[in-house]
Amino acid sequence: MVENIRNRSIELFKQFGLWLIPSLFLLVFYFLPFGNIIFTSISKSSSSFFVVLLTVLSSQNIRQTIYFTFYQATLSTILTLVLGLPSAYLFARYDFKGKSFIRILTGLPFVMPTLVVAAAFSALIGSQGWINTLLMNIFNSKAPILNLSHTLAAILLAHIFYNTTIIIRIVGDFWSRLSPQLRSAAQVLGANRIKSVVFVTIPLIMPAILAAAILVFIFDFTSFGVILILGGPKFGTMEVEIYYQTIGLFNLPTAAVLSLIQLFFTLLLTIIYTRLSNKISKPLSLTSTKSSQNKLVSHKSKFFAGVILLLLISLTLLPLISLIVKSFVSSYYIDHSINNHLFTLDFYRELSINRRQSVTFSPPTTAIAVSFIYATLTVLFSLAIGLPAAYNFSRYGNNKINKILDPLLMLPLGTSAVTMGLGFIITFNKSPLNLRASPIIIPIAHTLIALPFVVRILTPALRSIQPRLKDAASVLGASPREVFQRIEYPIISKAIIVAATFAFTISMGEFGATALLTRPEYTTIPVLIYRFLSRPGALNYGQAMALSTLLMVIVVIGMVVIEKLRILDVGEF
Amino acid sequence: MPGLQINNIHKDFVDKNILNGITFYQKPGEIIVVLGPSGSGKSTLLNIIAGLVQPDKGEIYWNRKLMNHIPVHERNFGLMFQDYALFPHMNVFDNIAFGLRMKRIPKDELFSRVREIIDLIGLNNYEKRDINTLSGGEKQRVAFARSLAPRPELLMLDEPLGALDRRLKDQLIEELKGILQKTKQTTIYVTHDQEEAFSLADIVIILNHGRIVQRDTPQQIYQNPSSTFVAQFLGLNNIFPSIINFSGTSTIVKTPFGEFKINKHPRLTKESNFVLFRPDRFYIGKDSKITLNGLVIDSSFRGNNCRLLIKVNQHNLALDVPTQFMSIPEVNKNIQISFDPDKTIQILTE
Repeated sequence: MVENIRNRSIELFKQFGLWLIPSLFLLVFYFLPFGNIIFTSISKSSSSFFVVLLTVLSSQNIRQTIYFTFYQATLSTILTLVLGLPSAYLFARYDFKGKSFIRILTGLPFVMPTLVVAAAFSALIGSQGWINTLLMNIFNSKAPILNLSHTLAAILLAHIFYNTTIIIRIVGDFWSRLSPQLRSAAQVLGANRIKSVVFVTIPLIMPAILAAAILVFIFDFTSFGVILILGGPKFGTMEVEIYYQTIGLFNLPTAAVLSLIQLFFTLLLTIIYTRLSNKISKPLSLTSTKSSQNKLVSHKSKFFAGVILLLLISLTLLPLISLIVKSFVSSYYIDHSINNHLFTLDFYRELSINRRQSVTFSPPTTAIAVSFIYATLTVLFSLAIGLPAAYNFSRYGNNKINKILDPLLMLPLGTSAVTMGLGFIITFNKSPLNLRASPIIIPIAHTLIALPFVVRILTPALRSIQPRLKDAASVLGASPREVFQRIEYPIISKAIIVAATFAFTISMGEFGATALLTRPEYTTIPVLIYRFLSRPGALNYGQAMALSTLLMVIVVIGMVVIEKLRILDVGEF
Repeated sequence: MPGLQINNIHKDFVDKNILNGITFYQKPGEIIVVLGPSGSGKSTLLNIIAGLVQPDKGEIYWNRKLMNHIPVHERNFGLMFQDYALFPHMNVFDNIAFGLRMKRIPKDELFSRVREIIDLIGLNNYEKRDINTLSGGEKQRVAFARSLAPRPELLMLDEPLGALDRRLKDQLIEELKGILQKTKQTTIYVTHDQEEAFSLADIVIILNHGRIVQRDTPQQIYQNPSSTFVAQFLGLNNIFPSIINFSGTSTIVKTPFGEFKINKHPRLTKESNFVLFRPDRFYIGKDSKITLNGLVIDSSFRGNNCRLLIKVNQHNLALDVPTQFMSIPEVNKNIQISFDPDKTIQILTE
C-alpha cells in the first residue's frame, strides 16, 4: 500500500518534471512577450489603447497597408488555387512515372527560406534576372525591358511558388482517398457528368479546398521576406509595417497595435482552419489510392498532365536554377565590351573578403559560421525541450495538463515571426532577462519556431514504442540496456535525426524574427542576403546569389536526409 | 425479345485481357447470378452493362435497343457497388432519394416512394441518420434501397454481401430474394460465393478468365459441372486425368483406381480427359457396385457430414459421408468403400 502510494507519487513527480521544462519555456518566451505586446499597446504610451488604435487606423498609409495585406493575400490565394486544384486533381486521380519525385519537388519550395526564394525570383524576373538579360540581348537594348522586381506580379508569383504544394497535398491527398465510385454511383442513379460533380464531388472535397485555401491565405497574409524584397518600398503588408515601425521608426506602440490586429485575424483564421481540418480527418467513404488512380491513357489526359507538370516543374525549378546559375555567372556579360569571362567563382571568393574594411561589417564567412552555431544551438534547445514534451504526450497523452499543453505548444506555428521578434525586443530589454544584447536570443527565437515541428515529429515515434514491445523484448531475454539499445534507440534515433534536421534548416533560413533581433556583429546568412540584395552593384548582387545558393544547398541536403528517413511527410500540417 | 442481350463483349485493360467474348440473354424478371473467382471479370461486366466502362467490342441491347452509346445516367439501370459507395455527406433519406431527385420526381411522390422503400427494407426511423454511423448491415440495406428506389429496369448488384459475416449474410439473402421476387425485378447479381449464388439464382453464369464456362440452373450446375474448373470451384475435388474410350452405348474410363464402364455421358466431347468422383456419392462398406480398399489418412467432422481422406492406389480420394447413422472411421485404419460408377463418376473437359 505504502509502496503503491510511493510509486504513484514518483510517477506524478516524473510527469511534473517532464511537464515543467516545456511549460516554463513557453511561459517565458511566448506568453510573456505576447502579454507585453498587449500591455505595450494599451498602456506604454500616454494615451490609451483605443487612442493608439484610432491613430493607427486614421493613418492613410496604414489603412492602405492593411487593405493591401488583404488584397495581395486574397489574390495570391485565388491564383494558387487556380494552379493548385488542377494539380491536386492530377495527383489524386492519375498514376504516372516520376510522380513521387515530382511530389517531392513541388514540396521543395515550402522548406525554402524566404530569402532564397526572393533571391531566386530576382534572378529570374528581376532587372538583373535571366529573362530580362535574354530580352536585352535579343533586342540589343541597354535599358531593362522586363523588370518585375518591386511589382505585385513578383509577389504573387513567389506566393504561388510557395503554396501550390499546400493545395496539392491537402486537397490532392483528400481527393485521392475519395472513392471514384461515389461519382459513378451518382451517374448510375441518373446524374449527368455536371450534376455528379456538383452534387457529389464538390460538396465532398469542399472542406479540404477551404482548409487548404485558408492555410494558404494565412501564409500569404503574414508573408514577410518575399514582400520586403520582391515588393520593395512600394508594397508593404502589415508584417512589413511592423518591422519598419520597430526597426526604422522605433514606434513600438504602433507596431504592437498592428501586431494585435494581425494576430486577431490570424487567430480567427486558424480557428476556422482547425475546425475544417478536423472535418476532413473524419473518415469518408475511403478507398486505397490504388483503386482510385488511372494511368494516363487518353490523349486528353496526357495533354492535361503535360501542361500541369510543365507548369509545376518550371514554376519550381526555373527560379532555383536561375539562382544557381546566376551565382556562377559574371554579370559583365550584359555589357558586350567586357564579355571575356562568363563563368566565375568570384562571388564565392568574395564571401571571405571584408572589402569595406568596416568594423561593424563582418565578412559573409563569419555570417555562415554564426548561422551554423545558431542552428546547432537551436537543435540542442529544441530537442532539450521537445523530447520531454513529446515523451510526456506519448505516455500521458490523455491527462488534463497535456490536453492543454498540446495545443499551446503548437501556437508559435500560427504566430508571425516578426511579431515574435517584436515581443522579444520589448520584453528582454531589462534585467533580470536582459537578453536583448545577447546573441543567445536568436537561437531561442528559432527554437520557439522549430518546437511545434520537433514535437510533432517526436511524439508519434515515441508513441510507437508501446510498452508491449519492450515487454516482448524482455520476455525474449533482453536486459534493460539491450531493450534500449535494440528496441527504443533504433526507433527514436530516426525521429530525432529528422527532428534535428528540421530544427537546423528552420534556423538556417529564418528571417522574420532574426531581422528584428539581429546584431551587426552576429549576422546570419538570410540577413546578409537581404543586405546584399538591398544594395546596388553587381558584386553585391552576385554575392547575394552565391549566399542564397549555399543556403539552398544546405536546405536541400536537409530535405534529402528527411526524405531518406521517410518518417514525416513535409506536407503534414 | 424483351430483356437484356449481351453480344460478344470484349475488354482489355492496358495489357490485361479482362473479358473475352461474353454473350448471354436475360429474360425480364429473371435473376441471373454471375459466379466466379476474383479477377474473373465479373465487376467489369457489370460496369460495362451500366455504362461506366466502354467495351472494346460487342453490343449491349435492352429491349432490342442498342445501349452502347447511351450515357450512364440515361440508361435507367441500377447498380449497387461492392463497397456501397454511399454519399458520406448525405443522410439515409437523401441517399435513397438521390436517384429520384435526378429524375425530377415531384416532392410528394418522392417522399412516398422513399417511405415505401424504407418500409420494404426495414429501416424505419433511420431517415435522418448520418451514413457514417451505420453498421455494415445497415449500410448494405441503404445501398440496396438507393439502387432500388428509382425503379431501375435492370438492377445489378456487385458482391452486395461481400463484407458481411455469415449469419447476417444468410438473413439478408432471404430478404433480398423476397424483395426481388415480389417486385419481379430483373437482376444481375455478382458474387464469388456459391451458396449465395445457388440460393438466389434462376440462372447461374460461371465466369473464368473473362469467359462464360457454364450457364445453367443452380441444380444443373451443381449436378453436372462441365469442366474441371467448375467442379473445383464448387469444391468437388476428386478430379483425375483419365483415358476415355467410347464403345457403343457405353463408355470405358481408365482412372487411377481402375477401369470402369459407365453409360454414355451427355456432355462427352473429344477434349474430355478428366473424371470427377463425386465425394458425396460414396458408401462406407461394400454395399454398392464397385468396392475399393483404402487407408484413412484424415477425417474432419463437419456437423451433418464428415470429410474423409482415403488413400487408394497411392491417390487420395475425398469422401463426404453422412454422420447420422454411422461412427466415423478412425485415422490410419484400412477400410472398404464402394460406389456406383454411373452415379459417382462424371466426365469433365479441362
